[in-house]
Amino acid sequence: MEISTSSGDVPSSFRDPSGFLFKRDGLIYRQVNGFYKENYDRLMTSGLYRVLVDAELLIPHDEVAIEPAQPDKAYKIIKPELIEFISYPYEWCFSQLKDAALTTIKVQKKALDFGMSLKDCSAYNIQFRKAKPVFIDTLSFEKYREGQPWVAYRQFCQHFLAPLALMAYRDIRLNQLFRVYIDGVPLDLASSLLPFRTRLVFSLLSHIHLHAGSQKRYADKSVDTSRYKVSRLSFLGLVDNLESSIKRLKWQPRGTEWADYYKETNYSEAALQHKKQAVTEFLGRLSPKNVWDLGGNVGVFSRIASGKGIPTISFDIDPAAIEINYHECVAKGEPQLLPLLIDLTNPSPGIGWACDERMAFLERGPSDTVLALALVHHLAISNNVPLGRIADFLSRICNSLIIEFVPKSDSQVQRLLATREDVFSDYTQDAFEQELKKYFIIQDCVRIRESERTLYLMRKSQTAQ
Amino acid sequence: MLPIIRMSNHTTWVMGLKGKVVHMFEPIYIAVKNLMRLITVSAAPAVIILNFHQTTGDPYLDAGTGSIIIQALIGVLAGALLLLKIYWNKAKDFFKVLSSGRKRRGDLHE
Repeated sequence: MEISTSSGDVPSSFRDPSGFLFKRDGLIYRQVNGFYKENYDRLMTSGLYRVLVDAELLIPHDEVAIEPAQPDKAYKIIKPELIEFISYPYEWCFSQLKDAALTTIKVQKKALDFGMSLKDCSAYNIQFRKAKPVFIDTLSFEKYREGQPWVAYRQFCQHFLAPLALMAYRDIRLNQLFRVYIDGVPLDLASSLLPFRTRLVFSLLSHIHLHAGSQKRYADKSVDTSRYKVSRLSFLGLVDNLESSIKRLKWQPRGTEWADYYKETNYSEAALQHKKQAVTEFLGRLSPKNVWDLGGNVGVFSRIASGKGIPTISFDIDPAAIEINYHECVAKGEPQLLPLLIDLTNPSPGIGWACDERMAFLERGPSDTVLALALVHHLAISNNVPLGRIADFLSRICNSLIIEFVPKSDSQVQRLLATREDVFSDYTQDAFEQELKKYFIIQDCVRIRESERTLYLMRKSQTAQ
Repeated sequence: MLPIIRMSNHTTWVMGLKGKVVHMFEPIYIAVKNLMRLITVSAAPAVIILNFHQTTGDPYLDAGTGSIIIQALIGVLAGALLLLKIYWNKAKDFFKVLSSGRKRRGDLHE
């Protein structure tokens, strides 16, 4: 889903003179401008488009005969296949960004085989479609000219290599720099943040440290760059070197084995099975078009929904949980599940030009059903969010809700209270129901066996619609 | 590979390049010293070019020029590495085919 301006243009694509996205009658189209005619025709007739689409590396599109959004500039209008949920690099885990980088390199290598090259290497040109990264900017290809440098080299380093190196060598949370720097992490910043030992790695020394130094050295100098030729071999070598640099970057939570990561629940086996059964039954009654699992951890309950063929997003604040979840998605080939990183107490805002180049979390909703399992106590007690505000937020992002209430007497809530003063006198099951009832109708509730937890099925009331 | 001479259970000696018998630690020391030299030489351009001051975000500065220049320089080295990689893989494939051919002939003889 994409928002549009009053003119119908989608605000994420205004920079490119080759064309732009626009929305009409609820559908997304891309106008190809006359400026890009030669390159578009080359993409389509050279066989590159077919090869990339068949390899699921490029989003497929149809050429359509509708009135262009800007007829004076238009060459063609294309209708790209719709992406179920638009996500951004600051919402991806390490391996998602790494796979996005490798997909970009694969696209570039294929393009070179057909005498074309990528002129944009933005991480925002990648989206997850059926849980796999796919290149979405059909207008990013241009004719390759022997001797010309790769115009997207800097962007590739800023959008992929630098953030991945920072996540691998310094701190996994540094992908959040994308929220501040919309055109990727500035290389001088990456260079100053990376540990000294990265200067001993040829690829990082050259593509980040020396690259940053060179940018700084020539930033205010008038240099005739046409003197600097990059032969085809050098060009291929550069792409190949970037690919192996990305492949070598790895991340794993410190002192943790993947398999042992998810062990923090206090459920008995019977309670877990009962909860799974209740969630399955509630989902069966709702038959939602899509599901957002908030605080989905490694996706145990998200998989109940995605296993039924429902497009599901599994959100969590923990990069390690999202990493594990994504690894499982890739290993099992789960097309309906997309794990994403989100801090619900500070969800992704609208960023970029006029704050709407990249959509806010709320703009990408509402989802049909939200799963909020073992979540409310974290928001209410760890983050001091009043129950009324939680109810209001949930009513803005879904039509129906499967939500769990965990009382203060539960050992997990006791763990939260152990390190803070109990100022949460309003945190009771009665108050929870009263606040939720302002927006939702409680249709059913189940007490989870061998626990003090209750699972509710709620639908948004007509007055809250 | 230098020939190894075992003098006793505790000491290992190697035959040096000029036929001199030297202690095992000496070639290791030389290797480490050479490695350190290599690292210093590789890092030298970084030290020369980088002066670790952050840019100020001056709107009139353009990072694109530096990217093109460094790309042309790194590209030469990366191209050479790619060529080396291609020939290395070809050599590996050649020896693989050779050894699998020998193995097959050996199997036939058996």
